[in-house]
Amino acid sequence: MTEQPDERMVTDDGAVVHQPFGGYKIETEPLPDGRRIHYYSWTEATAEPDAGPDADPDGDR
Amino acid sequence: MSERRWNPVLGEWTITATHRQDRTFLPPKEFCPLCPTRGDGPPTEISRADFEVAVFDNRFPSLELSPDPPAVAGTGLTPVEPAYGACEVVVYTPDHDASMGTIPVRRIRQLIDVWAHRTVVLGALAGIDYVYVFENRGEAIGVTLNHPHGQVYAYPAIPPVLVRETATSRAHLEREGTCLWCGLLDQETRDGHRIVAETATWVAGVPFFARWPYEVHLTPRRHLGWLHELRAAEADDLAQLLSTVVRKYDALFGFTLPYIMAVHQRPTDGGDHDGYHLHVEFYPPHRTESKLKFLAGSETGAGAFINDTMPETTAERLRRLEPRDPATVV
Repeated sequence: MTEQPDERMVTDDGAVVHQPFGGYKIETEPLPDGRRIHYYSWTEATAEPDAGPDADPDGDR
Repeated sequence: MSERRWNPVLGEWTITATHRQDRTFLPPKEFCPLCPTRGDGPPTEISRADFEVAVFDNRFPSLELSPDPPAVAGTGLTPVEPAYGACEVVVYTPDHDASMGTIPVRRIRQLIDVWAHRTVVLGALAGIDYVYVFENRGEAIGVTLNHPHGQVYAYPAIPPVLVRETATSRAHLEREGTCLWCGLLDQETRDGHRIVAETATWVAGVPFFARWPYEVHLTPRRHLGWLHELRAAEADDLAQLLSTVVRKYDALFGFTLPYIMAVHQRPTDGGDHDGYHLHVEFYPPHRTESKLKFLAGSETGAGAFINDTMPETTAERLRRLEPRDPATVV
């Protein structure tokens, strides 16, 4: 890319908490035919409150 | 077999991918390959019993990082290249019956993180000039799996629509010294007639030049090029606005509206694309509850779109609609 991924981004090989997007981890596993699958998960400590779709139904602020 | 064949007439590549003829086609729910593997059920792509968001290499890719050699020889006039690239599937949730309009805003926010990360990872690969995040939703669009999911394609060349968009934005920047999208955003927010919804950092509206009756574009107020450049508040607002727009769509005719969602970011080819402005485009094919807009003679044969509706009218209708409450979905 023309702009290198900054410190906010994580790699496939490990979990890196970055700002301002919040923390998540990635676990990569092989599929039986050699493809790969990445599981993204968000930790309790960094997960944002689940406002739900009704929190701001018109999208107005 | 998969390869890229150059079309010297249009100046663009066509991808052939004959193996995709055999891909899984609308399986019953109990055989969905995107559901978690259940103890007594057939194995799926996802071995875990539960997950939040999963991303995996498409089993039937159009583009691969280690492609086979082309099946035919090219010529000087019509070169052929291996189908280099990547095709990933992004599974939004383990819930087979969910959709962008029923998942929590928090999950959409998480998806934005995933889209941003996959763009960075794939865009950093050698020879990848463009990373395209998109979702096809609904059988009217041609989906082959109904489980809520999107896709990420990493192309070895900037795709034709993005070639045009980057060229027009570069020309506008050179001519006017300003961003084309910032100018459009200023015009639309001053006029107001085509705005559907907005937040402090994003605006959703039917474009002045909409090709589809209920086409909506989401544009950040700040000039930036990639999802990973979003600030936290901007990513929060995008998640909220995506939910709002999709739930308005789902309220429009009383059913989960099919659409194509296209995330347009800057290319990753290392070129000068400072004038390009991140945005998200939605193209629903319905022009009424029971009628679809087809890409027929003028659109397909001549590339000239004809919209049967006034953008000001469809925008007003969408603006006035209450987003569908997910609790009412049966």
